[in-house]
Amino acid sequence: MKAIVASPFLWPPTHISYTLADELEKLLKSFGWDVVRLHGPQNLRVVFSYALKYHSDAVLIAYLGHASPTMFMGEEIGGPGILAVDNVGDVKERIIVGLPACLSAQKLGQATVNAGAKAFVGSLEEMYAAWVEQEHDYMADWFDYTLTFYRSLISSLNAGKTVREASEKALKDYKERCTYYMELYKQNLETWQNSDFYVHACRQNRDFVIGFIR
Amino acid sequence: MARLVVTVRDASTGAALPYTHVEADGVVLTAGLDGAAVFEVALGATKTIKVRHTAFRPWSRSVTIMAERVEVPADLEKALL
Repeated sequence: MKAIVASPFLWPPTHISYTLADELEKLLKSFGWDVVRLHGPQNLRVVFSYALKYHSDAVLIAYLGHASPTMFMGEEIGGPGILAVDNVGDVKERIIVGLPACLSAQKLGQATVNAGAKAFVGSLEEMYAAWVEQEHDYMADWFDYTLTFYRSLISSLNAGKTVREASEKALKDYKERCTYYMELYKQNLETWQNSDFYVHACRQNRDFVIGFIR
Repeated sequence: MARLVVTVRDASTGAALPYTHVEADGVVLTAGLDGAAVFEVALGATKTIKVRHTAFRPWSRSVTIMAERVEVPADLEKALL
């Protein structure tokens, strides 16, 4: 199977999600998938639209970066977005995932499913990045719980599960992994000086991620 | 006594971040319009400062108060995608 992985490189939080996309690319390849990667400045509408058309066999479109309620922003702040409600493009029969990306489930999710996507997964609210802090590597945890979603989705699809089954299980596994890290941070509130923030960030990253599944 | 002045700014623009929560060893203040929070502290004390704003990476430092006025800039990085 084939996936398109789009990862802009705009400012510090998207520099980290870009690195996360590197890990996603490795994960997909380890499961035998072909990966079309759109790096940094390739995340323009014209390039993305061409990739969708040229790689019509890509079943998964993964976007990791800056987004708004109506679009995956790509590399141009204030631009038309690479995938937007006013130009959903060729998403028929595909799985669209905006994870991690802010707000895209508010409007873009329904728009892509209305246009024929089999599923859309994204967040109703803003999503947080995470960093390596002095007392703990929160970035590694963020990578782990985000990749838990993708790992679950990919392995279910490889096993022949339906998109609904695969998406629902991936969301469940993702949320359980977020909860694991939230509990870990709560247990270390007294000794990890930034853990209070990451409890909040992890909760937000967990609670507002939803799926639209046809 | 001494004064510990923590000034909170957006690292990418240099703009002050008013209303940010600034904590020094459990005492919480809200930064003013200029981004500053001023604590009265004992000279020679070591204070753990935490700065929290929902849109920015958390910021924490330990500072020893070695003068009657200690100024600490807290430049926050954006945390949201």
